[in-house]
Amino acid sequence: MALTTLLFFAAIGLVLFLPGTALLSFLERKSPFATPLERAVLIPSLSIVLVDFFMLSFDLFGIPQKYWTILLAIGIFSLGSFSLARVKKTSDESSIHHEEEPERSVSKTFIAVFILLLVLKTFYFFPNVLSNTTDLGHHLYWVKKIALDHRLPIYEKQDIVIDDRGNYSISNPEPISDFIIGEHLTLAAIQMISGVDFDSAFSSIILFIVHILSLFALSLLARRLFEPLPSSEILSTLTLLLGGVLYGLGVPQMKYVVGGVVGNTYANLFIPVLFLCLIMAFRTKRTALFSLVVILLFGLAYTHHLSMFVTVIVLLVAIGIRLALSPKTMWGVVMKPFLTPWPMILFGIGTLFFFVLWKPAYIANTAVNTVVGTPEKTEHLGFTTTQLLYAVGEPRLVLGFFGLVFLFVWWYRKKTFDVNAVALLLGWTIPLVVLVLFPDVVSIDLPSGRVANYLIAPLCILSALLITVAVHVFRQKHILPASFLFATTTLFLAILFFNGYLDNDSVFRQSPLQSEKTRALRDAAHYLADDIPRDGIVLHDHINIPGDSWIKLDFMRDYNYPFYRAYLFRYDRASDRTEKCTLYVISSPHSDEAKKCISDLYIRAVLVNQTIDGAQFEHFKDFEKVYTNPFYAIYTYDK
Amino acid sequence: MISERKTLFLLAGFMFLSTGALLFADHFFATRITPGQFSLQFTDSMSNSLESKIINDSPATHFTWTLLGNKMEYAKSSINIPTHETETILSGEVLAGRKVKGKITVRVTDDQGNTRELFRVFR
Repeated sequence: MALTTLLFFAAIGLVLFLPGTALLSFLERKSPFATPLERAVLIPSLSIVLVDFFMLSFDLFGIPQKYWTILLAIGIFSLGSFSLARVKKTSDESSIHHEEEPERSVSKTFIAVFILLLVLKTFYFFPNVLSNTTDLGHHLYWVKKIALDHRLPIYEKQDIVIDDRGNYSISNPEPISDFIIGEHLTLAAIQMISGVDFDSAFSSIILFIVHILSLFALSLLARRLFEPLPSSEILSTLTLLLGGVLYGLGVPQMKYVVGGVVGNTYANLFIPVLFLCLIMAFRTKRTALFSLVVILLFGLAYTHHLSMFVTVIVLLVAIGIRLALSPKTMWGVVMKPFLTPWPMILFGIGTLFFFVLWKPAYIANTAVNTVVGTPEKTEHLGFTTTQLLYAVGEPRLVLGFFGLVFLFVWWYRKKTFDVNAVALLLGWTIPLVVLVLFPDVVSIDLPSGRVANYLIAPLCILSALLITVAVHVFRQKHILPASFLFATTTLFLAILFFNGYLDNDSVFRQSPLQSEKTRALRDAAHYLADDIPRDGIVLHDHINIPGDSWIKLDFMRDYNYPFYRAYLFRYDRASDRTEKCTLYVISSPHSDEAKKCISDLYIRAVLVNQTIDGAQFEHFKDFEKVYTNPFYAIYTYDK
Repeated sequence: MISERKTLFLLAGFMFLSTGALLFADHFFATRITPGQFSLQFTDSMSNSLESKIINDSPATHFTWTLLGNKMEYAKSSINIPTHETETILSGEVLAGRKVKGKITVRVTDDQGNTRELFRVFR
């Protein structure tokens, strides 16, 4: 236990921190462009992209994905970067230096809010750490496949099919577009280096670290966006409070971490870090920062397609707004620095990788085409304003909206704010509101709930801006007596807290302790895989077994194996479940249809929730009950 | 106000503590003993006997093991199994020297009153 823990921490350091530190030390060899706290979010983001790049390159050159090859790549890259940084630093000592940033300081309130955030989330996560979510089980199948096969997986699955004569069989593997390679590479690298058990919470803990960093990145972005303001520090603290503490447990925060929404959680870190680099690049004109923007953009593209799509839309709209707000400076400040050698070279390498050398599944299978067109599915038809209010949190939406109006009006009249920051925030908010409320107008077919989640980040910054400026103005202009101002601010924050904590409280209440069930399922799955002869097919239920996708980790035979009984509505969708064997065998094993399925497919065992689905097997003489625990039972077919 | 460098160390320290707490939680919930929970599985069966294994993840230590079939009790025994003992194999002969037919049930009850059953059909 102690050694595994030690190795796990070491692997986190080697994979999530070392390569990024090395790259940043090389890029900052002349003078630093990021503050220590900014480095803390830049480093892991870059490390993830670099490790992805190493492992994709291994695949191209036929190098096995093993712990020592990954360690070697990280070691050589880090050593090379540190050495080059040192050599360059020495040779550049006499040359002209960029202006160094003065050491910044952080308020105690910021630290207190961060600790509060960490305590709240850890407290919620503690009893839920043993994951029983379907998504994480699916992802870990691919992570384990990389670790076992020592090569990158081909995303495909087998299915039960029925031929013209009505006979059932197992299909050949068919490609699937649900997964993106970047979701699995870092987890695989950490697992291979540390040797940590797949049956542990290692993946959830990594997601937790990434999630905390993403909130941290958002608050640092808020600070950078409004840097000229004397109260940008307060704004940053408020962003952290609004983004991470209030509504801090629901979707897309801890629910995504516990739920194993890997790509989205990673993307929630990449997006603010990417925008942070962009804003810093415009301010400092450092080529290195423009290069980092390109690196992070491709990192995002290899990690999460929806986030990439949303980010590209945000950037395009932001560029359009920037052009409209200040056309004269557009070329010199925004476009020209990107057309310098390094960002262009990196963009070329990235494009070559993305479209030719190693296409992600969603590009290779042209799944991206499915997002263009009139929305048809119910969950893609857009939100009403009330649904949007509920999705992002009422105070955040209201304050964010007024913050947006204030930002534009204030900039238009006083030109106090950085035009790039204004363009980015407008571009981040407006297209997402349109996508969520009126998807049919722009003919974009995306799940509205998922898109609404991307609105939370800019709304938090805008809400924080409005509160900060309002308090600042009231204090400066002495519009209100100090005691009255204090009382109203306190009351306002109390309402905000109440609303946010009400949401947290409801999440807490919805989370009954599942660890016993999770443990019982893992035990049953081990028995199913180890003790039952493998010459037949195994089925299990999905409806009444939470986290059933973890069962496949014991078999590692196919992504879709063991086959499972899906939610009943899926059997009615013509394009979804064409076979009904999984339904017949588990719901009515006595039926003739079930008997034919058992015979055609050579089904030999089923794993079901004993209380709900055990009865249909108990009195059927062809099945034997060979395993039982407090929740689940395994029945074998023996005739 | 505190310098960013100091803040970074402070926050990293808290992150480390938080991660440590979660690792502990993982270990705790993975190996936790839940009152009254044990599992039962078949390990082997022959023409007239059954072998089953009790995995005792519970504080219970005393188990009664019964072999039932055709409305009669073939065998009965009791056993003490220490908590977390996982390799306790119980073996029961149904009818010595005679071929058994029909559904035979293994029933195990612990001293907390929890019962689990398995069955096998002898043909």
